[in-house]
Amino acid sequence: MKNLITIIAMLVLPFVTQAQIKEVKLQASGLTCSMCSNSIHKALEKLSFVKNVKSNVETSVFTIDFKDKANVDIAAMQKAVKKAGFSVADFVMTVKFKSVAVQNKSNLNIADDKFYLIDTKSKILDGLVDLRVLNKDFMSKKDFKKVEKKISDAANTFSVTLS
Amino acid sequence: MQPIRLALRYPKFLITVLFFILSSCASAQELFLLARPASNIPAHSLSIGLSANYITAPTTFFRLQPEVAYGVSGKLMVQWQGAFTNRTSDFAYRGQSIYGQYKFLNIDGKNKHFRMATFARAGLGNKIKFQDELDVNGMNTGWELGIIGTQLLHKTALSATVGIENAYYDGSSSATALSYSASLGQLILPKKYTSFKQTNVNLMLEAVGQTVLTNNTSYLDIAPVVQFIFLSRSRLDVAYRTQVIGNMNRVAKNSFIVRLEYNLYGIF
Repeated sequence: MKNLITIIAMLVLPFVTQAQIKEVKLQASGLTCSMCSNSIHKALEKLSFVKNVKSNVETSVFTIDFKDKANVDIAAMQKAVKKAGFSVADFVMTVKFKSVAVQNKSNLNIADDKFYLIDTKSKILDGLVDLRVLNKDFMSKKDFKKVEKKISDAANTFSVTLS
Repeated sequence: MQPIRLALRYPKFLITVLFFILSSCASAQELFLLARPASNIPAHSLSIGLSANYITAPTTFFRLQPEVAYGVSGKLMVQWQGAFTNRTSDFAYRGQSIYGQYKFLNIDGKNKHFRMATFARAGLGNKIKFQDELDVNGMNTGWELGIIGTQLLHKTALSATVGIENAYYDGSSSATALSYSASLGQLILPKKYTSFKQTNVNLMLEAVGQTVLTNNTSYLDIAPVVQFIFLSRSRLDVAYRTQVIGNMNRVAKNSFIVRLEYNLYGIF
């Protein structure tokens, strides 16, 4: 019975993914100074869908909250860091799901972006779930090499894993 | 007294010792005073600076250099710099230059990076020879092309530049020079970051030199720099630049430098 529900859920999944990005924790690399960190902080704050950015200067981790009902643009955040002169080393999204059944290699649509879930067992996602983005510009080169072969090569698709 | 006498007699020894002392400190930065690092200013950000130089040898005079820099993209930045001095008359405009820098290599890691950039400068200024040194940054009319490599490792930054410079000497004839620099920076404070409001203190040591190929004269200056960064937005640099070796006729061998900078992030 459970399997049947999962299968049915899988069939309708791409059309009605009940999910919303609540928060992003982004770690930048290539810097140690607070002036550099501040330039990233300001660049992220300028994005139209961003409500608030909290920065940890010591660890270069930026915690980003979003405006209500705003379309969160994952790529825009990465580009903002790049334009400030730095790179994204880690990118974790906290997503609020409403009973969404997933399995390994599921496709998910959240906001305007497409996601491809890897290294996951079949399960139902409910409540707040952390997803780590595994695309080239969203992680360190060293970490990317470990996942390179597993990720989706479809255009405009972000590969993610449960973190 | 012995070490000081030794250092004065052997400038290279002094440089080596200072580099060693700085590099053994606990923690640095690459926002150098005399040489630019390969890192650009952030895209769509404006940086406004004012540098005041009080030259103490061979004669005393005052030079003021206002500057404005803009990050066109993450890879390209442009800068304008003006020069005002009271060297030969009352305080007046002497020249200006425009500068462009393109970052072509960027390898970022956790708390570290290696970057390389090329730069070009075009200067408007004197067309008559008043010294052997070529300075297309507001003193001579001419151009400069070069390359920069910068390595940041946690709180220490190392940077080197090499360039070729060509400037008018006597109206129609020009001279060519090789310019080079090496900079070392160390973040001293804070020991641990807690907010953007903390004042950062950096200690730097820069070595800047030039060889004019046309008449085979050279100089090498060193400059210890103390840098303060306030509210992660403003910068104050205080330095003393002095010639350690040289056989050039120059108007500025020793100088005190104070530079202020204010950054506006993501404005256009």
